[in-house]
Amino acid sequence: MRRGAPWLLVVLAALALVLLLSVGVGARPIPLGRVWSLVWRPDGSSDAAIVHDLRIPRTLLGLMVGAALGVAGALMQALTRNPLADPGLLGVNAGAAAAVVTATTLLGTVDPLAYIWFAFLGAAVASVVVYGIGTAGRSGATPVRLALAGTAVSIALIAYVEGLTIVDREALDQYRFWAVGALGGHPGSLNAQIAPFILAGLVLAVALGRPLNAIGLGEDSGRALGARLVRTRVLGAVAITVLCGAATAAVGPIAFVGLAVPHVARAITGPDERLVLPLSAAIAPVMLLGADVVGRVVNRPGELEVGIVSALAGAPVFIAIVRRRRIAQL
Amino acid sequence: MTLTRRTLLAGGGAALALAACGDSDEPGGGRAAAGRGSFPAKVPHKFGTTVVRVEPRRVATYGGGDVDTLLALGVAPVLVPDIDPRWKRLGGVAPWSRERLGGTEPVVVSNEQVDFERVAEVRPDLVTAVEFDMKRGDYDKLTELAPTVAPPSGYAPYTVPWDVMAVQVGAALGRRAQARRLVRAARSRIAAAARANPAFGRSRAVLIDPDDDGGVYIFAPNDVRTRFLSDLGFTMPAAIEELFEGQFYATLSAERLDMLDEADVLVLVATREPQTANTTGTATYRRVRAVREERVVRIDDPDLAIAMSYSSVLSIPYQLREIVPALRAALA
Repeated sequence: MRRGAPWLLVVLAALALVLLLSVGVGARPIPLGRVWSLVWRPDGSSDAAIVHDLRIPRTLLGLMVGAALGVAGALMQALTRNPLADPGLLGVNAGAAAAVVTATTLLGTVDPLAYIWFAFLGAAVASVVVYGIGTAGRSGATPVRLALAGTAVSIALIAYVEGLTIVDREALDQYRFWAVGALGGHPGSLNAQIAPFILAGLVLAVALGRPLNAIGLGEDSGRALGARLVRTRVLGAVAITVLCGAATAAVGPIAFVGLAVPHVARAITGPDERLVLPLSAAIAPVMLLGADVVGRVVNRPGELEVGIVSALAGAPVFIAIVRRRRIAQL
Repeated sequence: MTLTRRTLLAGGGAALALAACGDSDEPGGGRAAAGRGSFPAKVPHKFGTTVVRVEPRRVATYGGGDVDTLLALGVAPVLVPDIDPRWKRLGGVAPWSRERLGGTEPVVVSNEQVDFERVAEVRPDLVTAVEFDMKRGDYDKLTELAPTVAPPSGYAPYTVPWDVMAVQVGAALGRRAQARRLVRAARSRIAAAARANPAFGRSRAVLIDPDDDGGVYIFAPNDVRTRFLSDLGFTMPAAIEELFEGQFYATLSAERLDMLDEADVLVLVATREPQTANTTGTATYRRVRAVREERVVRIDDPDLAIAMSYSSVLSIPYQLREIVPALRAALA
């Protein structure tokens, strides 16, 4: 813990700063002092509506989705012992997209709040299928088998999605909306809808820190230390599905956050999962909301969606990590 | 955030090119009866000049608005682009043009890229691609199959105005004069609607199309959608007019929907969900003046939305019939 402590303060300070920026900065320039007073005393003006109805819910959404993606990425990388694991790898994004277009095609246009549940279901089913294929056979769920199963299922699902969107215009519209992750423009009730899932997933994930450390020593050593491999893997898969499913269902697929953040966390703390998991939960919203704030000001009076900015900003960060030091071994 | 051609197709450009052609019938064109053009027809376009030597009988087209224009000139195309999957059940053309197919069934092809084999299969004797982003390579290959007419020079892809397009397609059929008559008829319908509704000329209007994150797309003065509204007499709020920087569209964040306050009436394209529900559900949308005053014309019909982004001599009467009463009611 001693090694991480000063860094933890830096990360928490950065998180506080980015939360303030996210409430203070947007496509409409409002002086920071006025924003601050509106936060506490809304005056019924349109500036107050922007702060309370757009920026604060959007900031909370970014906080939750960021934490979910960061922790899910760290969990995936630890469980599969694959430093390149991310929500795309285990079929979660493709499963959510496939469910959305299926629901749209079968039921016509789905209520914006209802289709989140389809996305969630699709993410869960895809994860279960991937895990089932990955663990079938005698050799069990090796990292390579899981990654291959995830890739195969994703490719099949994306082919299905593309096929449907060619023949169904409404499905195309929903998929288009989906394919670019955005924090803005969601119904106000979205946060309350996904919060229980993300909180439960975060608690479960952090509780898995110690058994994941044992797995990190290798299967044989882990078993010798009393790690319950199957139980840890199943609970880990549940946490990943809940976190990625809720985040992806809510805002669409977002690249690089789940992939890059755990590397930053490990660079700070070393490979102790008890620290990597909570630190990932704090670093990921900094990256996600930071990208979102940038997207709000570079295209005024329009905006650039966070999925685009985070992909643009995340790639160089990731390359820098890979170049600077050996990737922390998993 | 890329715009799909299907629903957000660009339009625009001024009608200057057409005006420059003059309105008199070309020498030798005479009073060509419908169905009988004058040949050889010379058609200048962005890749050169195409000479059509004999009356085309099998016309293939990749242009969106070209389809309507050909049908208006009495030619049922044998190959058309897939504008909307729902239209396949109508024979591949717009509902307002369907009866003009006269029972023929064109081959419907994806308009993402040119499928040369499908074009060759229909054995065309003319290919038009005026409302299409045709590349030089496409043009060269298509020319080997049949005389091919590209967009006139001076327009960005998908920005040839409907009236210029009509004359370009008409020229390829050796029927410039007939095309000009169709343009005049469509223009006089628009002018009549404008005269019958003097309130339009005193009002500012903006067409908005919900984007993917709670804001809206808006369209430049030379875009086909905005041009339709200005032809009816509406003006665009000055603050909006400045936003385009040469692009045919711009976006307004949910935080900047207040910039729409200057508009007396909004035309809302409401054909895509969940985008429409998300944008209209924001606190800032509900505060926009025209929304509070219930002066929003909502376009729920996808055919009407397509008609407005692929204007043609045939879609304009349809657009006028559908939207003018709604605009009048909104301003009442």
